[in-house]
Amino acid sequence: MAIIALDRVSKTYVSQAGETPALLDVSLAIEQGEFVSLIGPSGCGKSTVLRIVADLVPPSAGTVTVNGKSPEAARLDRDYGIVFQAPVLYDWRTVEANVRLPLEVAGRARAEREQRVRALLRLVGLDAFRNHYPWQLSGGMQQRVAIARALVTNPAILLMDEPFGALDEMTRERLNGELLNVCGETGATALFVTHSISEAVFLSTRVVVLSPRPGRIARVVDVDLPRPRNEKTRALPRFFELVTTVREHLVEDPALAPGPDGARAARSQS
Amino acid sequence: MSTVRSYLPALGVFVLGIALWEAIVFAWSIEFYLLPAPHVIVASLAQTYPVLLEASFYTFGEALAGYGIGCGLAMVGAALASRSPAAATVLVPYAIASASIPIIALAPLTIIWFGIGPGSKIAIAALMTFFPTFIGTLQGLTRVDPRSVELMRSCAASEWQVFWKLRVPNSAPFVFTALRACTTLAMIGAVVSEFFGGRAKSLGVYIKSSASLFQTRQAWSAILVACVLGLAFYLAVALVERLAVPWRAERERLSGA
Repeated sequence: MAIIALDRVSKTYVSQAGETPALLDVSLAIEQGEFVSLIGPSGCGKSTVLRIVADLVPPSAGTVTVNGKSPEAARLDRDYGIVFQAPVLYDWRTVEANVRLPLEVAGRARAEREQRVRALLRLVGLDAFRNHYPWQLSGGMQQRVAIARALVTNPAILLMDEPFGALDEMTRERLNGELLNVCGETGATALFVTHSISEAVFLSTRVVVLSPRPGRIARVVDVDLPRPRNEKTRALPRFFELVTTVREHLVEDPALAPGPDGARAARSQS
Repeated sequence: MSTVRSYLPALGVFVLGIALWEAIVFAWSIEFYLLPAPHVIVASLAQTYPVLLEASFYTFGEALAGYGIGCGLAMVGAALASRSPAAATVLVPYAIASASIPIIALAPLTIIWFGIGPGSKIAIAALMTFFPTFIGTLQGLTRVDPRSVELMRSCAASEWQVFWKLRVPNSAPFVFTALRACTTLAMIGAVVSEFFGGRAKSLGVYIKSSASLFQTRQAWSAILVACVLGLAFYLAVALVERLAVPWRAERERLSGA
């Protein structure tokens, strides 16, 4: 059975300006251990898909099953960890205390908390920075703290909403590699929202291409690149073929043509 | 060491101001009952300090009690208001409007309500500190990054956990900004409401009676003591802030460097 299943899910945002359809009839089944990326032009509703799975917004129509239950039940059972585009770290907490937060909220025992936090900080390579405050770290390091925090309760599912969108290309590529290692070690199923084609192809087992406004699934591209993936993967001819395939299905939207990565990154710096 | 050096210009201005004051009084031969020279005020302090010390402790006690009651009730009130958006929408306009009410004008009335003793002074100090602290605390508790709230939601945090682990720490810088400003307000409230009557050995009564007898040196020495006390009060709260909100001082130091 699929660990995340969306069945004809639609979402319409209602505001004073009127109704804005964001998603239309999106059906998707993600199996245990998969790494699925959602890609599409700005405003195609890819973040909305993730937020519906996370029970941060309700769908307008359709059914969603997360880990065999409703999104709300999955959230209350702490079945997923989430990483947002901004690191969303608490200024008053050290790196260690930020990673510890979900364990505190879940009321886990102190000994378990300490052990999990240390393990996760080691996993993302920030053990030496555990007593630093978030604002003493670079953007890439902050996002690694956010990933450690999302995984600290050992959730079955890892949801990521453009986690590396605000980072420079070099940092992003390095973190892509680290993320695959981390997911491999924890065995979490990942749903990853991005606007970077190469990032989606490099990370995923499947890339779901969404069409703009309202978002629908335009194409699902299976990524058959060998594992483990590393810097050599990016040089494979097959990598370029897959990138081209994804791009062909995205190209119909003119807004995406002049490298939106740069524009998005600049806008989302916060 | 660098912090000491950063205060040097301010210290320089202070010394310059005192020198200028001395020079003006000397150059224009201003009568001492109009404006005594600084050294005269300090010399007078040498004689009056036993009385002033007692008076200032008394007045400071009133200010401190009013500050504690006013700020304490304000923080509790703001915490309750933050839990209920409806309550906040009703209360906040009044809290803001109250900033324009000259609370000190109520001092003669508080004497009717609470008597000539310390009660009426404590009431004024409490009233003066209540609203700034209420507004500051409420802002700190409610102006939370919505993404931080979402993170808590994703962790299945209870409302209680969101309050203690997110809203309260988020409010700390706002609260301390208000608490620092209120130290001065509490001192002003206590001293000025004593002008309307109170214990003979209190700063306000002392200043008023000295001034009405043209004992300007004594009045000025009492004002000087009130200044020093107010400053000490302010610095004490700033020190608590530094200990309670270490991330803020650290961060400011970092951005300044």
